[in-house]
Amino acid sequence: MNLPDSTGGGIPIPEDDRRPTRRTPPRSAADGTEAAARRSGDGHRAEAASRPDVYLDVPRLEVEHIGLEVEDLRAKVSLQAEVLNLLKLNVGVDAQLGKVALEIDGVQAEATLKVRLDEVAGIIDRVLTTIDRNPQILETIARTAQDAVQEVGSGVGDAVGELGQQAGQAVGELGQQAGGAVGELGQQAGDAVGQVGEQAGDAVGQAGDDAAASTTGSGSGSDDRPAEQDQGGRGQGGRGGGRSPRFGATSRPRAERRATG
Amino acid sequence: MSDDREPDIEFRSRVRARRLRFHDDPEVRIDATVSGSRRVNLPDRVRRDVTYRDVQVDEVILARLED
Repeated sequence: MNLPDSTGGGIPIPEDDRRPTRRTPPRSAADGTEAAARRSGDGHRAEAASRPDVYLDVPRLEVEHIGLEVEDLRAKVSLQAEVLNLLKLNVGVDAQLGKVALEIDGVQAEATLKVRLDEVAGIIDRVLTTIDRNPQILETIARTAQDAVQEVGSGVGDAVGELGQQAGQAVGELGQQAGGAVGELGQQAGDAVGQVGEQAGDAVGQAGDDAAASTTGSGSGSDDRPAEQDQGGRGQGGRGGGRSPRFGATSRPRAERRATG
Repeated sequence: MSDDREPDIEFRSRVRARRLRFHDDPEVRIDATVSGSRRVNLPDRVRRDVTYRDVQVDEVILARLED
């Protein structure tokens, strides 16, 4: 395969380009090829044109052994330039190694990377010259950008207003529902406690009556279940007879306080 | 695209090795205006578990802005 070689020789890396690793600063558009050539004369034009703006040189690398195993490795060298919304340039090299596993012994390597910005600088210079001769281009771009910003700002304001309004409504509804729920809970708790008090009073009263009846009518029959009757009589009849009205009266307000507090 | 002017991005490398052995078939893809290699003692499609000796690879990758 014939490989392109800018030096005209068959060796990929010319001897006169082999210098210690360094980077040369990029030349500005004002200090471009033509300006430099006018100052230096025609003899230097070719030299200025071939001189890279970025130069990276690895003149000699020696490694005795390399064991390499990589997967999905990607290397990119990219040159990008943009001028407002008028120009977008992108030129680059993209290398992808899906899967490589190798061993290599006695390695000697050398490499160079050159980046030339003359073409990019020339394109940008033409764009800026066009803008200089037609300044209304900038007015159009500025107006477009202003419209876009206004649309974005308006949309954001509306969205924030709606969000605040909906949040306020949601908080109000939540407060109302919470208040109603608390009220219902207090009422239901009070009713439940009242019912418990009433049923307890009824049960205690009935137990007291039963105990009184069994005590008066059973002088000889009490040995059958003395313990049960004693416990039942003390636990239900004794407390029920004296405390059932107070139990119902004192428990209701305590339950309501707990529910509403 | 004009080939008479120099590339905007130019990468050149030369690798020599006494011994080279691949454990897997390599999967490599390069996107550029021009890319290619000149090889000595190494085929265009290498094979796994084969030992290549005294190899040399000259690789060139060029990229240009297209008109």
